[in-house]
Amino acid sequence: MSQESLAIKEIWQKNSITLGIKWSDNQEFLYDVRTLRALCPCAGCQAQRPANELLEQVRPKTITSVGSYALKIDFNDGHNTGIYSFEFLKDLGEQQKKQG
Amino acid sequence: MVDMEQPLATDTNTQPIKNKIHSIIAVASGKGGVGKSTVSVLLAHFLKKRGYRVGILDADIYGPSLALMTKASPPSQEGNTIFPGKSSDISVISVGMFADPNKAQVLRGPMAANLLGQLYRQVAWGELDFLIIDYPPGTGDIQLSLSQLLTVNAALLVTTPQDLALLDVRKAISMFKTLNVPLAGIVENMSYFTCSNCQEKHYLLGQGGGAKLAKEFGLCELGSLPANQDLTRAGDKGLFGDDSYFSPQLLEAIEKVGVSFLGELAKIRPAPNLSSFTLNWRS
Ligand SMILES: Nc1ncnc2c1ncn2[C@@H]1O[C@H](COP(=O)(O)OP(=O)(O)O)[C@@H](O)[C@H]1O
Ligand SMILES: [Mg+2]
Ligand SMILES: [Zn+2]
Ligand SMILES: [Zn+2]
Repeated sequence: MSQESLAIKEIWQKNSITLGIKWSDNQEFLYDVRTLRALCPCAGCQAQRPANELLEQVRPKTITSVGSYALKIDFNDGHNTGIYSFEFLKDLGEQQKKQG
Repeated sequence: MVDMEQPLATDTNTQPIKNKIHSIIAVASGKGGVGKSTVSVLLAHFLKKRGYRVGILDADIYGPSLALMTKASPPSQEGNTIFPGKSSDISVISVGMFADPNKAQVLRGPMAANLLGQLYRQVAWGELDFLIIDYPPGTGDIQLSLSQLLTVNAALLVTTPQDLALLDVRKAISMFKTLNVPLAGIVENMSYFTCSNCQEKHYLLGQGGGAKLAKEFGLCELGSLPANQDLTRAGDKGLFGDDSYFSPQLLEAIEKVGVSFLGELAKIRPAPNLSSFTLNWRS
């Protein structure tokens, strides 16, 4: 890996539940937005995970960049305190790829 | 309206506007009516959906149509600075918003290019990843001067199967080559229709003309778009921002053009990383 900091080249909505991100190293990963909600890194969710049955219907309303290091997702269940660092998302993508 | 005999602004009282535009893309064609504006708007929306900041400059003095096609809010002006109209967060400026087309299209090439260049410079575009320029059709003085006046980073050619055989397209290709403007590729528009009876693609004028031409000149065929009434209607009503208006097959064809375009562009000019964006999720 180069020393260059991780950044996003492209970000797009693939379908109603899938987010696509092309990273600055040209790797592309797809993310299920419900998984992102389930893995919300905010303190509240760390303490208590959202119930599975609530997740099926959950979708983002907007996805916004935070500085040059993270995304903030405003979900339609009213939750918007999770800051998803690029690091975290990139790792998640790589893990998912390994698992196939 | 701007008096065509007068320059839009004199340089002395023009405030320097701080714009930062990463890539200027010319959407050009050998002749009018082939879908240059339609492709410009489709590409703008595609790029917007991928998180890029996008503007369009409708420079087609012969038939400016983007104000209607995008239903953009009207631009505003403060002193010499023009603030672009907006359509789904895309900045839109059309020469038709500022100049009387009847007068503009009789201007000689360099004059017309000057008018367009001034219009371009007066606009507070802000920071854009892409500025798409809907070019005047053809390969005359205007197109030549315009490409020199603005630093065009890449051009995309729109053709139809009918005009593939014509000299105009070849002329356009060689014009950009002469100007050292890299060609991102060719979009073949209205090349087939999807039959409502058998659901097959029918190619009215034979298939693969665009690919052949692309191969001959070492260009990429970015994709073909069908002749589709929804595209005509979207153009008439300014509905391009609404994906639910198009069939999945049509969306797929549009997406292919956009993805190939980005792929080709990356070879010409590495895409910037996104610095700030908001993605609105469509349900
Ligand atoms: N693929 C298409 N299917 C159906 N109609 C189209 C298509 N492309 C363009 N049109 C229509 O054809 C006309 C000319 O297209 P336009 O984009 O304005 O061409 P240009 O800018 O090259 O003059 C418009 O009415 C437009 O809506
Ligand atoms: Mg046009
Ligand atoms: Zn949370
Ligand atoms: Zn048929």
